[in-house]
Formats: sequence, C-alpha cells, structure tokens
Amino acid sequence: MSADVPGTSPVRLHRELDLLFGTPPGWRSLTAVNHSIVGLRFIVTAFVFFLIGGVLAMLIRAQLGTSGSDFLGPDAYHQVFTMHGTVMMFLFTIPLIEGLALYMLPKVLGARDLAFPRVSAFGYWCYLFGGSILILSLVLGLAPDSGWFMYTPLSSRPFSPGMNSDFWLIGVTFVEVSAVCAAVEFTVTVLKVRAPGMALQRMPLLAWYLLVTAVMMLVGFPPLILGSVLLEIERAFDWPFFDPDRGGDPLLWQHLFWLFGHPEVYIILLPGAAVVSTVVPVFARHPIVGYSWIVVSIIALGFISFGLWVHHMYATGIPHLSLAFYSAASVLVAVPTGVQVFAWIATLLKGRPVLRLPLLYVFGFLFIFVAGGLTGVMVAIVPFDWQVHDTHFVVAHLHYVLVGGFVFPLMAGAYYWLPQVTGRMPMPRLGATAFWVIFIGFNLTFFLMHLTGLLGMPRRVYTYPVEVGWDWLNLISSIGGFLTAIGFALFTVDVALMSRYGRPAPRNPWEAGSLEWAMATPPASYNFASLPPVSSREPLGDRPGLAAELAAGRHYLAVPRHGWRETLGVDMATGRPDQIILLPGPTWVPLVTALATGGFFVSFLVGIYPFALVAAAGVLVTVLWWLWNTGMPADLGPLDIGHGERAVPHPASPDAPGRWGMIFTLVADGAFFLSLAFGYLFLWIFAPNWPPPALMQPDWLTPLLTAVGLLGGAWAMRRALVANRAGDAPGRERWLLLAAAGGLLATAALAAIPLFLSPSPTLHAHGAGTAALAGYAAFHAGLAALMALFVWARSRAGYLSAIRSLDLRVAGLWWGYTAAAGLVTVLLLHGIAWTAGR
Amino acid sequence: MTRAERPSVLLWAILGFLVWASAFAALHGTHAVTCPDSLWMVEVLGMRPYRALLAGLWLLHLAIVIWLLAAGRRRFRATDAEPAGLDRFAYVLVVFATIAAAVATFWIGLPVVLLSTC
Repeated sequence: MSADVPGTSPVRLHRELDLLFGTPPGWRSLTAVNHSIVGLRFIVTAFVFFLIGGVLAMLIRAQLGTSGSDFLGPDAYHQVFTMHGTVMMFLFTIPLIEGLALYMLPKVLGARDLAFPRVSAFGYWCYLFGGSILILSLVLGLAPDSGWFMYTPLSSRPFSPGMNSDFWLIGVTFVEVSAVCAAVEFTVTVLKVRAPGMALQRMPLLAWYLLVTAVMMLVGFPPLILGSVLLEIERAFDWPFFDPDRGGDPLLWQHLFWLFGHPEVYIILLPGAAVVSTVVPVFARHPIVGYSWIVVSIIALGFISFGLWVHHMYATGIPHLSLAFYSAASVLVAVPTGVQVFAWIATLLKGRPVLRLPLLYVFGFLFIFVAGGLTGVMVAIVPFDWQVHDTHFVVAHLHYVLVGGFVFPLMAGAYYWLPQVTGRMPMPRLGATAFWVIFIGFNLTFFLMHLTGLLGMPRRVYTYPVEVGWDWLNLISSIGGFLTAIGFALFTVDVALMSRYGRPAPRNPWEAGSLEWAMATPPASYNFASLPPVSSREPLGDRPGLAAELAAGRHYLAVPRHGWRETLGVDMATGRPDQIILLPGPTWVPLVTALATGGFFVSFLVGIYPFALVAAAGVLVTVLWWLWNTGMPADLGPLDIGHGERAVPHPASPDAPGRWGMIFTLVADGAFFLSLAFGYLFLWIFAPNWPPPALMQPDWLTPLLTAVGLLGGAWAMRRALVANRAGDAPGRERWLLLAAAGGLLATAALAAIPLFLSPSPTLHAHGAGTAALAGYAAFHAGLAALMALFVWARSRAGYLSAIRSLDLRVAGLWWGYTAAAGLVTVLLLHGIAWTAGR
Repeated sequence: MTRAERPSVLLWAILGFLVWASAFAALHGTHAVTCPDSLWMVEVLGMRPYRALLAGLWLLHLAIVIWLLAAGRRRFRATDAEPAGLDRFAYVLVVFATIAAAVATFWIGLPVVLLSTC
C-alpha cells in the first residue's frame, strides 16, 4: 500500500513542512495557532496557577493548624479559601485538561492540527486574561470572598458591596469562554479530524474520553455562564434575579451553579481516567480489557453525571421524593465508574505489568480515587449527607475524588508523555520519592479531615475554639499539607531537571502502540510528514516501521502544494477520508479578538458601561475580519491525497468542520437558553413574593411580527441555499437580503417587549426575567440578520458557488436555531403573561 | 454502506440516555410542580392521582427506552460481523448503552412507587 513520493527525502520534506507549519520566533510567536504550542502554553499557565492555588492551600492549613490562630484574619481567610477553590477549579483543572487535549488529540488521532486552530489560540488568551483578572484581585486585596461557589445572597450587592464578587463573576465568565471554545474544538476534532481508516472502533480511548468530556462541557458550562451573567446584571443594574424580596430566589443560583458544578466533577475525572486507560495497557503489556464496555461506561457517566446536581442541595428543603431521584442517580453513577476500575484491574491481571513511574502514579490514583468514590456513595445517601453537610468530611471527600481522580493520573501522564514533549527520559528516583511524599502527605492531610468533619468541624470557618478538641487532628492535617507541598515541589524540580538534563529518549521509549509515538520527539510543528493509514487500535504496535514510513512521506498528504497547511477530514463512523482540511497559519486575529473581549469584560468590571459597548463592537469587527479570511475564492475539484485517493478541499465539502462547529456551538447555546427558560419558570413557580405587582402586557402584534421575521428569515435562508445549489447567484443574494430584513424585523419586535410591554426589570424578577429572555432572543435575531448580510457580502466577493456553500449552511443552522428559540421565547413570555393575567 | 457505517450510529448510542434524561427531567419537574398543589393530594380509589401521574411518566419512558433497545438490536444486528469490525462495535455500543439507559431509567424512577410522595 505504500506510495513513495519520487524525489522526496525525509529531510527535505521536513524542511518544507516545517516552513509551512512553523511559528515565527520572538514577539511574533504571539501569533502562534499551532496546537502543540498553544497546548503547552495552556499546560504551563495552568501549572503556574496550580502553584498559586497550592500556596493558598498552605495559608489555609497554616491558619487551621491550631485553634484560635491569628495568622490570617477572617477577611483574608475568606479571600484565601475562596481563591484556592476558584483557582484550582477554574484556572488549573479545566485549563490543564484543555492543554492536554489540545496537545495530544491531533497526535493520537494521526492529524497535523485541530479543526479550528485559531479558536484554540483565542481560547488561550481568554484564559490567560480572565485568570489574570482573578489573580490581580488577590494582589489588590479585593479577591472574591464568598466561597468558590459564590452563593447568593452572600455574593449579592447588599452583603458583598465591594468589587470582590465582580472579580469572580467577570473573571470566571471570561475563562469559561475559553472552555466552551475548547469544547467545540475537541468535539469536532475527534469526530472529523482523524487519520484515514480510524473508524469509531479503532479510536484511542483517550479520544473517546475527551469527546464525551467536551460534549459535557458544552452542556455543563452554559448554566454557570448564565448564572454569572444574571448575578453580575443583578449587582450592576439591580435586576433582582436572586433577591427574594422582589420575586427572585437564591436557590436559583444554587441550581444553576450545581447544574454546572456536579458534571464538572466528571469533566475533571474523565480526562484523568483517559490517561489511566492509556497508561495501564502500555505498562501491563496487554491491550485494554473491555474496550467497548469502557466506551459505553464513559457515555453512561457523561449522562448520569447530569442527574446529581441536587445532591449538593440536600439541605435546602427540597421534597424527599425529589431528593430520592438524585440520591438514586448519585449511587448509580458508581456503576460505570466501577466498570472502568475493573477493566483497568483486569488489564493489569491479564498482562505482565512492569512498574515504571507512570504506573506508580496510577496505583496512587486507584487507591485514593476508590477511597473518594466510597465516601461519595456515603454522601449520596440523604440522611448521612445531612449529618456531614458543610463539614470537613465533604472537604476530605472532594479532595480524594479530585486529587485522586485528576492530579495523580495527570502526574502519571506527565511522566508518560514528557519524553514525547521534551525528547528526554524521566529520572525514576526523584519521581518515585516525589510520589511517596505526595501520597503520604495527601492521606495525612485529608484522611484526618474525614474525622474532623465527623466530629462536627464546619468548613469555611477561619478558626475554632480550643475546647472542641480538634487541635491535634488539624495540626497533623497541616503537617500533611506541607508534606504534600514538598512532594509537589520535588515533582516540579524533577520535571524541570528531566526536561533539561534527562538522558535523550529513544523513539517510543515505552513501546506503546498509539500514534503520538510515531513521530520525532520532541515533535515537529506538523506532527506527521505524511498521515498514517490506520487499520487497528494500535497502529504503531502492529507496524513498528510506521514512524519511518511516515517521515519518508510514504502515506497521505506527503506533497505540500500551493503553500497550504493540510490535514485530512474523515467520515465520522468509518474514518474514510472525505475532505482536505486547509489549516490557518500564524495570525494576530485570536490575540486581537481576545483583547477586545477583555476590553468588554474589564469595562463591565470597573463599571464603564459605554466602553463595554465600544469593546463589544470591537469584538464584532475582529470576528468579522477573522471570518472573512476563511474559505476559497475559486472552485477546485477533488485533489490527490496519496494512496491513489482523492478528496475535495473542505470549503467544497458538505460535511466541513465549520458546519459541525456551528452545530456544537448551538448545543452550548441551547443549554444556555434552556437554563434561562428553566430559571424563568423556576421563579414563577417557586420564588417567594409572586405574583408580581405588575405583569407584562401580552399583545398580538409583537408575537406576529417576531414570527413573521423569524420564520420568513429562516425560509429565505433556505431559499438562498436552494438558489445557490441551482447556480443562481443573483437569486441567492436576493434571498439573503430578505433574510436580513426578517432578522431586523424580529429584533425590533423582540426588543419592544422589555421596552414597551414589560414592567421595569428592577421592580420585580418577573420584569428582569422577561427582559433577559427577550434580550436573548433579540440578540440572536440581530446576529442572524448580520450573518445574512455577511454571507451576502461574501457572495458578492466570490466566496460562494454551487459547490462552496459552507457559509450558507452555517448561517442557515444559526437561523434555524434562532427561529426556534425566538418562537419558544415569545410563546413562553406571552403565554404565561396571558394565563397569569386571566 | 451498512447502518453501522452511518454517522447516525453515534446518535443511536445516546438515544437511550436521552430518554433517561427526559425521564429524569419529567419526574423531577412534575414532582416539583405538583407537590405543593393540594388538588393532587385527593385520594381516588385509595391512590393519589399524583403518584399515578408520576408512575405513568416513568413507565412511559421505560417503554420508550425498551422499544429503542429492540429497534437498536434489529437495526445494528450483523450476523457475519468481524469481531474487530465496525458492525460488531456499533452493535455492542448501541445495544449495551441502551441497556444501561434502561436500567438507569428503571432505577431512578423506582422511588416513585416506594416512597411517600410529598
């Protein structure tokens, strides 16, 4: 099957490809979009935040080591424990997952880059700027101090009048933009950007885990973003979403937060399990046992983890039967987790394990995570949870789960993949010492915390009296905490030394079978000189000479052409190549767009709202600039991809990544909309002080105009696609202009609801909820109009043809969603107001 | 192209759990909305219509997920499938994910018939 490229030497091919895929040095490296560079930036930045979070943890333990301590006052302590949780959850774990996925996915999937490299780079800058805002608050002494889950009313303006909560809401939302971008990126990459022949049953488990994780992020993060937006609007403009005196409800915040917060635990756990599923078979010297069972259990975990959020709210007075649903789901989630644990154990038992550093950390994971899982089953049971609610028992449980389920596997992954990243081998002695120090220190800290919790020590208190007798347990916990910190310091030193002075790693030092080892180490900017054909789950294991064949350009896309950066897009199920994806090169666009986005968030933070509007306009301009530079101005037929096969460039493919990018963006958008609609109904049904003093006045004109605008616009978009298919360019452009007019009409009709029909949003939560829903729909209709105009301009500029219809398809998806969400909004607002008025 | 080779195989793999999610939302939502309403507390033939409503929702979802299981088995059955091939994998993925969803739907709805309602 090999197809030698005549006249091509590996060295020459390397030079040509590196010229194409490389990133310029110096300050121009800020233009990098290459997945390896952006991925490593995520990882290093996340590690820096981890060190900051670790220092905060030490401050907490120093304070709690003895009773009545004056080391930190209550104000400083509140900031420190809030920032410890915030940094670890939002600035360390999720971004580290993003970094791991960004770096590894194309390599294990046999691709040259991700589906949307500029989106990844944009996500990185959002993460860096958002995280920096949070750390700045710490430096200024204005750090958030209401706990990492920001419960209202404590975080509301009357009880937190300073900027502390604003820093949290703005910073975290900014960072979450990055997470949603990454989730879309990973989902589309796993589904569409793989090596030829990598059908579903041959995908590495790492890709399955990251696919499910990414989809969970798409559904799980929007409720948090919504909650943060609503709370910030309440704080900034006095719209009372969470104020019970005016029809709001603090419980709404808890629902929105934990709708995100509990899936988040599994979003963190799954990538850890992905690393374990990768490392265990390599060192067990046996293929993973139960591949299909593990895939099913990952899917099951992904869903069931969304049915647990109320188990953080057992003590809020929810009826017992409702608690039972969540308790049942909380117990149930242990089953798919158990399937994976047993699959790993079975793999070790069936193989001939060799104990290397990565496997040592996996054993640490198994011990600690299983212990955390068992206490998880305990707190899933309602009566037990009531006893330990808000005590240190819960703090111990969550650290066992998160550190066991994430930090230990990631350290295993660090030792496993550092030879791939740096080209140097780890030094086992220091790494093993670090393991034992961390393992002992961790258990000393958190095992004893179960006991202080059972003795009744509440969490989030800055001190305790000597009479309660918790001193010695806390002192040992603190000693354990410092021991753990020493262990992490050893790990850091070890990684730094190894990266610089470790002995050079041979190619594929662990004798793994996956594709990330079928390339030079450290990897070249393009990953593979030619893309590998895949016919099994372990392509490298089955074909030890594969790396040399790839470097010699014997497989797919070995001949660079037109200065394009190419990788292959494949059919989702079979892995057959169906398009050539043209990748972007280094560009300032992501950084400039992130700076404009940062301008928007910072203006909101400091309360200069007119400038926020200017910055929002800046974001719009930069995004249009970004999108304008996509696609192709001419039709090209199928091109040679090697092995005698041909495929079209992605702008001419009906199944291009951009289409899927829009579909999964709309999944996240839909989760946001459903959360908003849920919040609106929740307040109507459960919040105190309803009905409101004044109701929205339902009418017939605004729903009619909205329906005409949205349905007419969506239909016009459809007609534009039909005209395009028939090669009727003038017809296409006429329909696009009509769609834009429909969008503008719907925007005006929807904006009329809060302006003319609804009572003031500051009067009661009814007005606030109505304005929020109508604003959401109006924003979408306005953007739909803009999209139609943008595609019209692209059509005039020659970017569309009967074959190149991607712009139309993507805009059509947005239009379809906008029409559906807009009509549901109108029905909800007018229907409820009409019913309540009668 | 076999059915396993179509991208819809991924949709089939999650359909069962989408029904589970619908069951979960329907049970919790209905319970939360109707529990405070005294109308639903009236006993009819020794049973509150409220419990019957919840049980009906639960059984409806169970029936749907079981139907999905049967349909998935028919759709993806491949008698001559290679053990390491896509057809075989698709069958295992769809059927076992739907079985897991059916068990999950049964389990989370069980409290409806065992516990006090409000």
